[in-house]
Amino acid sequence: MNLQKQKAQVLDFVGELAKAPQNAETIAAEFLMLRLQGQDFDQLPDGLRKVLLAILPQASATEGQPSVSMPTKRSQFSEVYSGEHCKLEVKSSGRLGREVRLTINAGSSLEKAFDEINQKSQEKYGRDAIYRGTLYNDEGVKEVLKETKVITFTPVVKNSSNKAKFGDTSQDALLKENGMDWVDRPYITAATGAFRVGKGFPKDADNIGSTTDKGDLLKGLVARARSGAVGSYDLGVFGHYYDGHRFDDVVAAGSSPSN
Amino acid sequence: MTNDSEKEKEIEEIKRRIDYLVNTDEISISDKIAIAKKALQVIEDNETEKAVQ
Repeated sequence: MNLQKQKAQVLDFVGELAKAPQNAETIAAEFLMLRLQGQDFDQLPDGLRKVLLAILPQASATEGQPSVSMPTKRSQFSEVYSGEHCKLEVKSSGRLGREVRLTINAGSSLEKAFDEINQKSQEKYGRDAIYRGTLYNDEGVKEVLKETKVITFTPVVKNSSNKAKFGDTSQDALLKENGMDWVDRPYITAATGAFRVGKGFPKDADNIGSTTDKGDLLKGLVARARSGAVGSYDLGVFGHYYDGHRFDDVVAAGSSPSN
Repeated sequence: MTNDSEKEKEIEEIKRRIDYLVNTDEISISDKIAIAKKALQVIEDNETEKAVQ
C-alpha cells in the first residue's frame, strides 16, 4: 500500500473517530485490521511468518475438515431473541457481514415486533429506544398478519477493501441505487447497522452494517424512531442530510454515532 | 530455509487467519485489537531491524 493511500486511510479513520468517539474501539479495530490486511507477507523472514501464525487465531477445527473454516461456510442461523411477537436470528455471511432473519408471528405486526425488541433493548441496556432509530412506513408496519411473516435482511459489502473486491455491491453503490446517496457515508460507516425496506410492508431489505461491529441486532435489538422523531437524528445515522421524503423507505437499526 | 511452496502455504494460511480474525464473531473487539497489534508489532520490529542493518 502506498504512503498516500495510507495517509488518506488514516485521515478517514480520524474523521470518523472525531464524529463518533463512542465507536472508537470498533474504528480502531477496523483500522488495525486494514493495516494487517495490507501487509506484504512475502517479504517476511521464514521465522517471522511462523511467529505470526502462532499469534493469529485459528478457527475451531473439526476432524476431517480443513484446519481453518472460513466464516462464509457458517450457514446456520442462530436465535438471538424470541418473544411473543417475533423471533430474531442471525448468521454470518463471512466477508459480506451478517444476515438477519426476523420472523413475525401470525396475529402480530412489524410494529409490535419492533416494540417488543425495543422493550428488550431498554431492559437489557437501559437505552431510550426512540433515540436509536428504526424508521418505517407506519401504514405498512401496523398491518396485522394473518400468517407468520419472515423478513431477511441481506448483508452487503461495506469497507473499502471489500469494495475493491466486490465492486458494484459496495455500500456507496447500494445507497445510490436505493436513492439514499444523500446519506453521509461516515455516519453510516460508524453506525452498527442499517436496513432498507421496500415501501409499505418490507419485502426485502439490505443490511448496511459494519463488518467489524456486530450491531445491536446481534444482541437481539432493533432500534426505532417514528418519523416524528427526526430531530433525534440530527447527529445520528442520517446526519444532517435528511431531506424529509425518504424515511418511508428506510428502516435503520443499531447505534448511531451520537446515541 | 523454507521452500517456495511451503512459503506460499504459510502466506496463504496467514491471510486466511487474518480473514477469520476480521470476520469472526467469536472474538471480542478488544481481543481483536490486541491480536492485530501484536501481529503488527512483529512485522514492524522486523522492518525496524532491516532499516538498522
